[in-house]
Amino acid sequence: MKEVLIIGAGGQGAPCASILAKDKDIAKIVIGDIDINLANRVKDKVNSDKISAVKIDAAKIGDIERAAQGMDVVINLTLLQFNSNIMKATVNSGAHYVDSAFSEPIGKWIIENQPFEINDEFKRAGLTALIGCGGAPGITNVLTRYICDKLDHVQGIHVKVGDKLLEKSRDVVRTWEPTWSPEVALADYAGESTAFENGEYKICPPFSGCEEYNFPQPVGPVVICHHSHEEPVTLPHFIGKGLSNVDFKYAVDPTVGSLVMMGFASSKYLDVKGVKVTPVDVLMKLVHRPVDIFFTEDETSARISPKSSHPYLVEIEGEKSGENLKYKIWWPSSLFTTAEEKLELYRKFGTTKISVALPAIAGAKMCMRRETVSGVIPPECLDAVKFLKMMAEIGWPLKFHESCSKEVII
Amino acid sequence: MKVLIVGAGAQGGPCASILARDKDVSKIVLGDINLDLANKVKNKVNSDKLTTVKLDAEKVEDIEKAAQGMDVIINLTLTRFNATIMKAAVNSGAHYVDAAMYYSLWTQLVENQPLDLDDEFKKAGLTALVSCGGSPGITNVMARYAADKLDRVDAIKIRLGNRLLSKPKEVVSAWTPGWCPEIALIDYGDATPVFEDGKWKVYPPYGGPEEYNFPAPVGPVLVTHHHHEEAPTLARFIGKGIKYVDFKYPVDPIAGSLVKMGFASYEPIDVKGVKVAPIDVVMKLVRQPVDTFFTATEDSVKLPPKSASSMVIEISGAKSGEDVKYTFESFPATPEENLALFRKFGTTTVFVSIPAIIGAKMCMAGDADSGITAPECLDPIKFLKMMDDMGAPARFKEVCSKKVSVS
Repeated sequence: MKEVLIIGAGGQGAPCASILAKDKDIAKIVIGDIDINLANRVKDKVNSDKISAVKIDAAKIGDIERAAQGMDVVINLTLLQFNSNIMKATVNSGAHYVDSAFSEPIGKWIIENQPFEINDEFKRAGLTALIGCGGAPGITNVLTRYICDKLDHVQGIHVKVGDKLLEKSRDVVRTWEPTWSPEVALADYAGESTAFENGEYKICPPFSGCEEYNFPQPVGPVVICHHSHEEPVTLPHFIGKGLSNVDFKYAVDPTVGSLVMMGFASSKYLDVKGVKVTPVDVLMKLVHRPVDIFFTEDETSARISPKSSHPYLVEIEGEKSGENLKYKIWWPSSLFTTAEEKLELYRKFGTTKISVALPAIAGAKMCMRRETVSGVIPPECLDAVKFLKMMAEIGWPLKFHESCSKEVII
Repeated sequence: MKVLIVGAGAQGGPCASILARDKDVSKIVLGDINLDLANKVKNKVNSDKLTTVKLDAEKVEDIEKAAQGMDVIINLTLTRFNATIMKAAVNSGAHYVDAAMYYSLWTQLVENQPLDLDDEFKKAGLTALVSCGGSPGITNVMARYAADKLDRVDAIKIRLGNRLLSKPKEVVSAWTPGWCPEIALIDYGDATPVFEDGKWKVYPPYGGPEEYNFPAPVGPVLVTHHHHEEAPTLARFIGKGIKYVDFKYPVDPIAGSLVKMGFASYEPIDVKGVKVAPIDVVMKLVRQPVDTFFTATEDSVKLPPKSASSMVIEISGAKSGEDVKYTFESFPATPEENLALFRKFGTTTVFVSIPAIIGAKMCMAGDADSGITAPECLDPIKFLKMMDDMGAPARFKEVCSKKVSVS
């Protein structure tokens, strides 16, 4: 029977606790956050004997090590700046590590393909640090691996994320309402991104590489552009098979685009009528934060049909037995499509916001069952079929579309 | 005529340029809190008639000092100074003309209260001609022009539309308001009083969405109720039984998002221990509209326009017992027309200042009532003829439609 420490009681940490509470393999869950009141609110909402809440300052390795005592895995669902600390504390405590997002310095080390310390530490300890195992990155990487296993050579992998309102919105104007950490989301939109082109990593400016991509119905054409993400960093390194092109493109959100173009992503101090503030701090104060949904969801809200469609789609070009093939896989980012599915999720897990926590838990369980190699690995290093079976075992099999096309001359 | 222009900004500069070339004008004083800006205009206009002065429009005494000996004050600065400038005008024995309205007058019109300074202007035999620019201004004059052809006026609807003529180079763009950003943001964020069924009804921002079909090349544009001056004055002054007045403007999605997210607020918020008003932060970051007055050249004004705009005024009512609707559609300015304007006035930004100047001349000629009045109270034929005489005719397509049944 296993014990799990979740770091971060926010928009992902809370659903993670809720799902783990219903897992019969899990005996104990500790949820830690710098805001102990928030962690306690999650504990109360989940309402399970398995859960305890603790105050953790993720800036202090000592805090994390204390909470990680005796844990089998630490699931990191907090801000990226704490990843290094949490990884260090985890390996020191003899536990596996899973996160759903990462940036520097790990990104740089992977791109440079040099040995790095924390990787060696996890290897020496016979433990796994599974990085970027959420929805995207995460399921995107696993399904990519699933398809690449069918190919002898892989030329290109293109990850695309679409966005479409399903009904005519009664709102004449929209606000920017990020469905994930606004700080991370803003940095993602405003920052340069990494792509892999013709065998080399390259930096893309914000809002570059625009194309109108035709997503399957009901989404249709969406303008997407390069977006800072983890897949183009890890896939070139870990997929192999001659892979030479990887990119990640995301739907252009004109509202956040305008905010970025106006300078609201800047952390440079402005003098505003004698007072010093940064534009990004002002935006973070006004933006609608996503976390509250966990606390306000119920059977009634869970019955409401999804208002928008947000598909993940991966195109993979490669070759099998001399034939050029193009695969396309796609699935809803939320992991449900209908109101019925949404309600079923709520009844099963106590939350519908499972799209990041569920794959993170699947990855964590594979670590705990010793089904993973040791060291720092992204999800494309997992056995894809085992991962998909694990998601089904947890109670929500992943449903996706797969198409394979090739040129035929008769 | 001797004119004091208050405000050397995007409208004040062109106004000075136009007045300098007007033989009926003997002296122009251009006042602004930023004397360097006023002097920049003076150097550009390069006329002996024009002098500049530093004035703080918040101080009545400053304005009165500058208004000494002036016949009319044309107010082309921020609307929060309107009341002070009006006061200075009547104290100095000058007529007053502006192109945009402030809240207190608006509220008094909508709530049917006595209008501040109306009595003072009447007693002095002076006119305060409010909202006499392009829109408001020309729109009101056209409404009156149509109303004069009718026995009964039921409804007046004003629609402004625009469309970009080429795909923008940027996929996403900063908010670039085409006029004073602070006023633009407040306008977009304001609830709008609409005159409906003879009464005022307040719509929330972006209320009454409608896809309105403007003439080509603009075509269909999503427009919503927008806080604008035509509604309160037309409802008050047109008469003839008017029951409905509205004004709709295109949805600016970026401004809309800013407003909806709370960026248009003057209420200070706590940001990491420091108090700041969101709107002040926006104003610090926003790209001010380029003052083309200083940068325009014969070559630049000849360039094909990047966007097309359209102004449509619908007036429905009855004549001799028959229901009739008049629609006026503006024509987009051609590069040739723009070049002609530029050569005549030194600027193409004339359609706010010229109506204001004509209003001022009509005040001087005794062709305007004393007290507070609006453009729809002026003789529309005289007004439009004066625009033509000045070299900036108001060109509209006039459509008269009615239901016909031949028995």
